[in-house]
Amino acid sequence: MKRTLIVFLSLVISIATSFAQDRFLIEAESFSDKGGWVVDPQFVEQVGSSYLMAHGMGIPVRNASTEIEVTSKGEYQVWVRTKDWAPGPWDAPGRFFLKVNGIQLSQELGVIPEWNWQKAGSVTFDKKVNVIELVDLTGFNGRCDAIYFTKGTDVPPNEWEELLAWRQEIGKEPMVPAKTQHYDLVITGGGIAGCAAAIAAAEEGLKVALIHDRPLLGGNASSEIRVHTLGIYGKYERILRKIDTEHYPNGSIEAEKDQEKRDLNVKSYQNIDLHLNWRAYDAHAENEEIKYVDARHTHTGERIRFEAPLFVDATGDGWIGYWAGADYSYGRESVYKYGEEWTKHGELWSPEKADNVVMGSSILFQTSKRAAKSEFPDVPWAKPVAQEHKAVAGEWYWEFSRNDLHQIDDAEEIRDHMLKAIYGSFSNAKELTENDEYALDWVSYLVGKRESRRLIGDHVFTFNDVTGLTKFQDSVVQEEREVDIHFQQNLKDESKPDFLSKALFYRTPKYYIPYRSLYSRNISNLFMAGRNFSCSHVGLGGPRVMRTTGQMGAAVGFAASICKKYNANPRDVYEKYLAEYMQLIEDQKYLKP
Amino acid sequence: MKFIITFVLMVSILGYSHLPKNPTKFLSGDRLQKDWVESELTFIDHGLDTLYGQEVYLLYNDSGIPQIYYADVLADVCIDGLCKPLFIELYWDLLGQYSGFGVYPDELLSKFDHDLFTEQDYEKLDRLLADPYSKLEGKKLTDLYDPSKKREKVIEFKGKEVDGISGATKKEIKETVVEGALYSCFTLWQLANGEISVRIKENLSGIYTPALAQDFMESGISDYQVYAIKQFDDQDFTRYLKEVTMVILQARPLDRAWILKELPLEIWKNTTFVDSIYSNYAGFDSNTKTLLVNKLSLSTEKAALYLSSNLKEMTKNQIKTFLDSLSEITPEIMENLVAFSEDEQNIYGYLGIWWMMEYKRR
Repeated sequence: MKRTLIVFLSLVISIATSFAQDRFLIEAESFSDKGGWVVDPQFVEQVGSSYLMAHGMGIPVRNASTEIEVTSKGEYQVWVRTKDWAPGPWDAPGRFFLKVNGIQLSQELGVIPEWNWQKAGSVTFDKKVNVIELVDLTGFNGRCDAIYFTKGTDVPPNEWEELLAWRQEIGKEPMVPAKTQHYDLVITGGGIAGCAAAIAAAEEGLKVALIHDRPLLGGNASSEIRVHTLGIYGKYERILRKIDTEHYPNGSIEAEKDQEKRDLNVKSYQNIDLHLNWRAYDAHAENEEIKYVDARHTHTGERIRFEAPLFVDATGDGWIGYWAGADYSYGRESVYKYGEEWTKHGELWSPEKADNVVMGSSILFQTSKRAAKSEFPDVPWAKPVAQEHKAVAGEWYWEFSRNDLHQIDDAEEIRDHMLKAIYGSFSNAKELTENDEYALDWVSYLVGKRESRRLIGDHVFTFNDVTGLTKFQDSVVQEEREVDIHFQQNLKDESKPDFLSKALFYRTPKYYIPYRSLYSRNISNLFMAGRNFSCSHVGLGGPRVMRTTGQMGAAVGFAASICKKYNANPRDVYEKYLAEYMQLIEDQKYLKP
Repeated sequence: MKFIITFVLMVSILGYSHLPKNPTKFLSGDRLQKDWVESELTFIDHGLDTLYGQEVYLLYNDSGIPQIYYADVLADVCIDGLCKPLFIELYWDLLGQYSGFGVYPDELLSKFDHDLFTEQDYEKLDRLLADPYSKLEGKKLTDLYDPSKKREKVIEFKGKEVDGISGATKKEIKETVVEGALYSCFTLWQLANGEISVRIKENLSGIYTPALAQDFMESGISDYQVYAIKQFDDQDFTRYLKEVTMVILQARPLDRAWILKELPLEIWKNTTFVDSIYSNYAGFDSNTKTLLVNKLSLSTEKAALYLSSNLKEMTKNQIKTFLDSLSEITPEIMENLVAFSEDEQNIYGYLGIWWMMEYKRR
């Protein structure tokens, strides 16, 4: 918590437009023209910043470029913070150069393991306005975090705490964001749960901030990740139809049509203040009550403090709760903790001893057959992962989890492992003449997570609530889709690649989730919706699909309106205003779309 | 007369007439013994809408040790009330896992267009039945078709449409079943992996005797050995340590993980165990490797030495965990660290270099 706070308060903001000093730092994500490079904000908590990545699926992307004004002329040493994401006895896959005023610096970049500073060369500035460019060499995910120019011989630090302090000092960033905004409800995370929460609360007249770290809404359902929504609408069909998807194959480009629908619908609410490309980096609580959430623009580095009496954690990873000190769980409980045994599947379903294993993350991809033969580069760095596996199509079961990897702390490694699996398997398939015409159309670079932190509420939803078909007096979510728990295929058969999973399905009649699983048990003004709701590992198996998480979002959006009406906290809604709340949920079903 | 009555009783109890009638076509890689001399009716399953309840027999060897479950199946493969019979002999191991089948020479399996199963079809059927996680699980017949797609080919039986190999069969299903025998495959998978399997598994505790436990441990069948080990107390782990060690070396990753998590603490300091397990570190799957690194703090210096010579076999996090948990750096371990770090073929050699720089700084 403390470390995270320090990290983000100390991060440097965007590129300054004028540099009078003898040293300056440029954040790569702040480049004015990103060319074909993409901003990757997924791993800020591990890397220290968003970064630019050359995600060209094997075809070098267009240069990213920006102008800088330098007032102190002279020779500068140039350092680039980068990473070889597949180190080994081969050419690094993510190589690139830095150009300054059209002249390429000497050192090939992206060739050192782990995030670190690499010397790019030296440059002499003899004019005020200068252009710097990132020149991708491979199209295979080269990455650049920041560029440091210095007239001195100093080497920028890389040790975590030292780096943070250094960035704070060089960026001259104040501790508190310059701007503070006030809302009735602050929702962090613009996946299906967050969108539904925003719509429900906005319909009831609340002034809502919706903070989302991507340019597009929908999270796993977005056209950037392309998982279709599953589950039923429950009592929120009117709202969820505005943001869900058709049942197209996972990874389909059809996701773009639903993306447009979703974005237009959410933006149509005047009282939803949408903050796209903003990523929260801290939540501050006093006396177990959140006072504010701080967020940073993933491109410009601008910061805003969001204040409100109520907050929703729809981040998926439970970040708001984590920063605020909410109780949470991670991993699989012992089968004895809640008695969630399914004898037929034993350890695969629920282990005798608790462990840190969770369901894995997926990266979807799409290919097509072209009219002519299509080449694909050699990818020796991907073969240790793909091995002999051949594929020209992916699906949900391209999923990676391993017991030494944490789905949050090691998310970048998990993403990169899946990229190697995809590129390597596709390359293997291309060795067959029958696949000559196949080409990669799209590979996501965003980790589609299934499970991570689960915040703990007054009720922990478990498998027993499914098998018992428990009808709670505060049942606000209902579902009838199967409970399915995934496991890696290589646990049962060592010959299988480590990036493929299988699912265990438990068919069920309609079951219910109580409202008490949707607010924190120890942070008084925190709701949660989405996969980070209050549940056990097995309990998550069913409701993690996105119409169900959407129901959760809508439920907390309406609950927030009751809180506002009575100046109450989420628990009060259950203890004092439940009848009115449940009636509100019934009544809203009949509003005109 | 008394003799005849006794004989009839013996037959009905031991069920000599209910031994398999046909040679097995597939039997889990011949891992199960075939010297069955007695049978005992265990239960009758009425779970599927078949012509009769399926009588499930437990077969014994001549020492009276349970060996395998068997059912002489007569199933009706039906759609819209139109049925055709299917004759097959099915087998399950004592854990309820499908283990193989045999066919009647005069009632060979056929598809609905009357073509007989080819050898490849039989092999595919065996693979399907051996997959308890098949996409057929929990499905109804109506789930197997995509009604929005036009069928490529319709197969009729007595003038009525009864089966399809068609584009209408859902793609993910089509890949797993024998072409033209969707309903037969569906019916047999439900028989092999459904209620009968569950009931056999539930039945095991009732027939599990010390003799059977011994038989399991000596069977060479990993699933049986793992089951036996799961019944162990701490003394049993010590008593059967040699066998347990062999099981760890040979079992599936899932079972290995269970055993490693359950091992009594003192075993991690057992020299023979450490030598056998940690010296084979490179041969284990990644999840097992993680568990072995995590257990290092409970184990011996020798274990650390083995691990230090296997750094190139580790993931990044495993190496970090190993280096963090090193309490004493012997010259041999340092030598291994240096060798690992200096070899440019090692992807994570830099971690060793960084660690040694920090070590020297301290």
